[in-house]
Order: sequence, then C-alpha cells, then structure tokens
Amino acid sequence: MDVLLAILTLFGLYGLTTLGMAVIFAATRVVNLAQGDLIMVGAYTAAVLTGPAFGWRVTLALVASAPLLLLIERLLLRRPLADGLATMLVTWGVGMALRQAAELWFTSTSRSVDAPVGGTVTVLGTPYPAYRLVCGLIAVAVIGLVLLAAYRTDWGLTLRAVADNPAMAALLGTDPRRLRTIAFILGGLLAVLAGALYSPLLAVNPTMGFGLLVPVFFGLLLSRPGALGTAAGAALAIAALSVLLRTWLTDVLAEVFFYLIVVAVAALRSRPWIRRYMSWLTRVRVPARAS
Amino acid sequence: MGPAVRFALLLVLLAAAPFGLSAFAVATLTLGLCNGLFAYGLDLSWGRAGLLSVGHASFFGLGAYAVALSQEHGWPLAVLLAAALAAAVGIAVLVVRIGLASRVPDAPLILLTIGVGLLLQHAANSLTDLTGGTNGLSVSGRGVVSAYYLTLVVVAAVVAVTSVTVVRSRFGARLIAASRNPERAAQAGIDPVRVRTAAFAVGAAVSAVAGALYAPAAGLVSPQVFGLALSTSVLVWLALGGRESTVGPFLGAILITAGAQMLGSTWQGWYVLALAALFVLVVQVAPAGLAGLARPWARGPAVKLPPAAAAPRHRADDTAREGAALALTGIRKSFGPVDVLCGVDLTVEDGRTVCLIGPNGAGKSTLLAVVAGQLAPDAGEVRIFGAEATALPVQDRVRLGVGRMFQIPSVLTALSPADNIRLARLDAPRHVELPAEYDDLAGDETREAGALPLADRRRLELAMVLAGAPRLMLLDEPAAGLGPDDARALVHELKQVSRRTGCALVVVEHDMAIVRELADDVVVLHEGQVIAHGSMDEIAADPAVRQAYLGVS
Repeated sequence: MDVLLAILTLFGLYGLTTLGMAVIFAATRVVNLAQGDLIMVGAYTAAVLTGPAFGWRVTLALVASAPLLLLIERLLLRRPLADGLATMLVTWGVGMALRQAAELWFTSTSRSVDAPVGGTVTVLGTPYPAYRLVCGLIAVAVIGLVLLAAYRTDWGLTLRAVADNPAMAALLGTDPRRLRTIAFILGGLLAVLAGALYSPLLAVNPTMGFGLLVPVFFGLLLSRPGALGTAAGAALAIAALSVLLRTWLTDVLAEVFFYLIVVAVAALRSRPWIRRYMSWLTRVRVPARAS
Repeated sequence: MGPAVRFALLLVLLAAAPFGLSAFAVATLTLGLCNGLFAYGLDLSWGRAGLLSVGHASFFGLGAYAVALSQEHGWPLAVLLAAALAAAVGIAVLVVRIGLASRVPDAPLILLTIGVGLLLQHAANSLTDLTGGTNGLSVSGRGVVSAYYLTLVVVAAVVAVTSVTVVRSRFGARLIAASRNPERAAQAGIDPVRVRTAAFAVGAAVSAVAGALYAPAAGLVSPQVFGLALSTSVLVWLALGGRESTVGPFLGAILITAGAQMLGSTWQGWYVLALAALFVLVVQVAPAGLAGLARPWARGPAVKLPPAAAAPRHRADDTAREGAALALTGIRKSFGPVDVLCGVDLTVEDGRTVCLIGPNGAGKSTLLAVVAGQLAPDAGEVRIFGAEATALPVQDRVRLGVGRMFQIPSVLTALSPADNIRLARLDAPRHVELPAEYDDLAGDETREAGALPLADRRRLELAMVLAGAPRLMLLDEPAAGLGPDDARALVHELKQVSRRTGCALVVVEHDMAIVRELADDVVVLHEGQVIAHGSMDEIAADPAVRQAYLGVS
C-alpha cells in the first residue's frame, strides 16, 4: 500500500512537470530544457519566504514567476531561429543562468522546508506522512484539471490543433504567437507549482531541477506530441518504475538501473516492429478518449 | 596561404609562448589547450555531424579518470587509456545509433547524453575504493613548461590527424552531406547513419584524449569531470568560438578559460552567469560564433566541400547487367488497417521508360518508395538488375544503379550547385560527363543551391542524379509545380537522357500529355494492383482502365 502511495506522490511531481513540458512542446515544438530549473525556482520561493503561510508562499511563487516566464518567452523565444535545436539551446542557456543566479544568491548548500501539515495519516491500514498524501492529491487534481481543459475547452482544442499542424491552425484564424506565449507560461507555471508544492519533500539546492530533468524528459519522449493524456500516462509509468526500483534496490543501484532502463527503452522503441506496435496502441486508444 | 601553412605558423607561435609568458600564464594556456581540444571534439560531434551532445563531459571524464586511476593504483597507463578510448567510442556509437533511429534525433540524443553523464558521475561517486568517491583523486603533473609542450604536441597531433582524415577528406565531404540532408546523401550512395556515427565517435575519442591531458594539468580528478557544469561549459566555449571551424573551439575555450583564471574565485559565480547570458545571446544573434564573424567577407556559400571531394575515387562498376532493370513480385504494403499495395507484379526491362498512372490513392508513390528503399514492403520481392534488393537500404540500391528524383526537389541547400554535383560524383561508379546545358550549374561556385528558383533546383537535382551514373531512374511527378515551358523542357531532357544513357525510367505522372510524350509503356495502378500494362493507345482503350478512371464500363 505504501508503495502505491509513494507512486501517487512521485507521480504528482513528475506528472505536473512532464505535463508542463508537453504543453510547451505541443505549442512551440521546443523541449524546454529549463523545466527542471523552474522547479528549482518554485522550491526556492517556498524555501526563502519564511514569513507567510505555506499556501500563500505557493501562490506567491506562481504569481512571481508568471512575469518572469512572460519575459523569457517574449525576449528570448520569440525570435524565429534557424532550427528547433537553436531554440532548445536557448532554453538550456536560460536554465544555466537560473541555476547560476540561485547559486549566487543562496549558495549551493541544500535547504529544507518544513511541511505545513505534520503527522501521519492511516490509509487502509498503512500509516503515511500526511503532507506527502496532500501534495500528491493536489498535484493529481491539477493534472486532472489541465487534462480536462485540454480535451473539453476551446483553448485545449486550439492547442491540440496547433500541435498537430501549426500552419493550418494559423490559416484557420488562431494566433499562434499568443497561444505560444500562453502555453509557455502555463507549462512553466506547472513546473513552478510542482517545485513549490514539493519543496518540503526535496532538498532545495540550485541543481535540484537537473536531476528531475531526465525522468521528465523521458516521459515527454514516450508521449505523443499534443496528446497530453499520454504525457501524464508516461509520467505515471516512470514514477511507478522509479518507486519500485527504489523499494527493491539501494538508492544508487536503483538510479543506475533507472538510467539503464531509460536507455534500453529508448533503444527498443527505435526497433520498427515495436514502433509499429506502439503506434497501433495509440491509434486504438486515442479515439476512445476523445469521444 | 593554405591551411597547412597557417597551422604551422600558429604552432610555431604557440611553441614560442613559454619564452614570453609567466608560469601562471603558461599553466593557464595549458589548461586552455586541453579545454580547446575538448571543444574541438564536441565540434566534430555537434558541429560537423550535427548531433548535439549535452553530456560530452562523459567522454572527457573517461580520459581524465584513466590517467588518475593509473597513477593511483599503479596500473599501466596505456591499457587504461586504450580502455577509456574504447569505452568512449562504444558509448558514442550506442548513443548515436539509438538517437538516429528516431526521425528527430535531437531529443533522444539530449536525453541519452545527459543520462550517460549522470550514470558515470554516480559510478565515480559510489565506487569509493576505486575512485576515492566525491573527493576524487589527485594527479601529479610534471613541470609547467614540459606539461605545456606535452599538451601542445598531443593537441597538434590530434588536430592534424583528424583534420586530414575526418574534416578535409572525402569522408568530410560525405559528412557535410549526411548531416545536412541525409535523404539526398543516401541517394548519392552515402550511408548517412554510418558516416555521422563515425564522426561522433571520433569526437568522443578526441574529448577523451583532452580529458587525459587535463588530469595532470588540473592536478585533481573528481566526479565533477562527468558533470553538468563541464558539459555546459564546453557547449558555451564551442558556441562562442564557432562551430565547424578548427580555430573556433580553441579560441572560445582559451579566452573563457583565461578569463576564469584571471578573475579568481570571488567573481567566478558572476562570470558563469555572464557566460550563460552570452551563450543565449550568441545562439540567437551570431550562431556561427567568433570564427563566423570573418565569414560574411568570404566569397560564396558558407559551407564548402573540402578540396579532396573534387577527386572522387570511383569504385569499379562490376555489377553485371543481367535480367530486367526492375522486377517486382507480389509486393504488399499496409499502413495500419489500410492496404495500399495488394500484390503488385511489375517488370521494367532495361532501357524502357515506364509511366505509372492511376487515380489518387492508387499507391503510386508508395510503390516508388518501396522500389527506392524508403519503405520496406510487408511481403514480396524487389529485384534490381537481377540482384535481390528487398532488404537493402537506400544507399545500397543506389549502388546497384538506382537514382531518384523527389516530388519536391531535394538538394543540399547550403552548398553551391557546383559542390552539389561534386558530391553526387563522389561515390559514383564511374565519371559521367554532364551535357553542356548543365554547365551553368556545374560551374556555379558562388550561389547557394537553396537560392535557386524551383526549375533550376529541379535541373540541379536531375544533374546530380545523372552524375551518379544511374541505370534505373525513379521520378515522382517530375513536372509538378513547373510552368508549361519548364515542364516541356524537362520532358525533352528526360527523353534525351533515356536515349543517351540507355537508362530505364519509372515515372509517376498525372499529366496525360506528358505521359503520351514520354512513355514506352504505361502501367495503370488501381487500389493497390496493376490493372493494365501496355502502350498508351492500348491503355486508353482498356475497359478496366476506363472503369477505374471514369466509372464507365
């Protein structure tokens, strides 16, 4: 049972971040390599402002980083660059700057944040730290809301249209630039939220986001562009894998195996028969969900 | 002044450096050279092979740990270095193979290179008995000046060898094609995956050598050498110095290393922050870096083939012409639940021109892609000049004599038309003299092929295909998008080609006037099957064809 709860908690963290990355990728075709560092930004906001209550700190983190994200998108990502790779490198540079700025202000020693909800709760006979449960539930609720927005609202329809064929979507009257700005801010905010929400569970330091980039990126790679549901599903699978490895193995071995599995899956995915099988799977599943 | 002379002059200048500089400056320069070689290795991978690696420190760290471990445990250095190089090459080949198997290799490559770096860092951290854990291992070096000369000699040797074999060779020309337009490169008989993998692996090995030089120069090897900070730094050095240049990576690395050494530790944090900002700026405003600043004054396109490409080494045209140019039996191809080809049998005799017609969705383009090797059939057999070709990749079919023109002309847009034709000749079985009407393209060294108008680009593509000495040409709607005059000229040229070279042609075409003009035989495809095969008049009278096209019986 506690394994399932641990998966729920970790899924909240990975799911929010992966979903944010998937939203940005859908609208802009850019893998936001600064996504992990946005987690760090959220976590530091929650860690440094010790005055207000925790809920306010999370809200403040979101409010404060929205203009930052707007600025990044307007100033750095607007320019039509030669290729997607160049834009990806820009986000890499942004991440590097964020890490370095954090190191300058807060030094590289880790901080810890007190959980706003202490104690443990008993779920079906298993005691589990209360805040971990709260965190996971809030995150899953937000993920659900975003998915609902993506599949039930006009905005979500536009996002999926732009993800599928930006040129055609522009011809049909959507303003891709506005959508891109909104998507970048929303996607970034999901990462900031994840960082702020999970700050009591993580060691807050400037490079904390980078370690999270691999599972999140991996989730994005396993999902289909524009299909946010698959991104959430991939995040769930990765969270489960990570937790299960950790229960069976020591931390270091678990990490090693995790990377080996990442590499192996990436390698196997490129085999034609597996790709064909997976494309079948998604083709069969998608209409069922869209209806 | 040739590149060899410039290289020698620069080397003399660097060799004289210890006589005029302080010990601190020489030590800094040593470190700068190590970092420069590291960036040069990344350039082979990212710049030349076009495969971004954000974890290149993995390879650097392997070299550094080889030296450190050999000192710490008294193991033979040569064995450890060989092992480090082998590991670097092995990891590089694995990563690139996996990455290139997906259609957009960037994202998998970024993930894999980050993953490999983190994995190695974890290994170095946790194998405390072997590596000293997080504290790392100290490495004793030699005196400042002898360390400098050792570094300089190794760097010069590595750069000289890789320039001659990888950059300025025929391999370098193939690499330029393979990293810019893999599709067209395969049509020129180049295996793009193998060429790019090889270049990336050489880049990884060079970075490992740089790491081995760095270990004694820095005095300490800790798990940080595999780390994110170093992988990011080397990206910054290279982006600032300039990709696809020999001097660029060294320039960027030495400047930034010298800056870091002079500022001292107090300002280090701000320095790195400034570099991050500079990196973002360079990527946006000056993607060619410092080395690229000189380029706008150079004549012609930004990318040129190395001179070695002008002297192709023709392989013997030993495959005998036997059997039909093309023989298809029972070709089937489905996409998911849609059966596009349902058992196509087709024979094209040598020297014939066959036009493939049929309503939209009949499977014409799919059939052409199956013949060219872009799609693998689900069942059936493809024979090209008698040779079994069903499982051969595109470039091997090209070597059997297949040449292909695409619906949208595919040329190397960054190269001049003359270089495009040179490239097509590079792996041709024999030298083909192009007719005089292509002289304007074959002699055009100044424009970029991407700037040519559509009709000229199509002519260039045709010239490239012809330069490859094809015996079976596949054309997908060659007249699409052309005006009536250009289309007529193209059809005339195709007839000339057929008469002059005896090459067989398979043409997908909708325009019946062109079909009537061009075709010896017409093949009608309908719902994935051949329903008629004969002369234009026979086809026009065939009731099955009238049924398929007009719905009358």
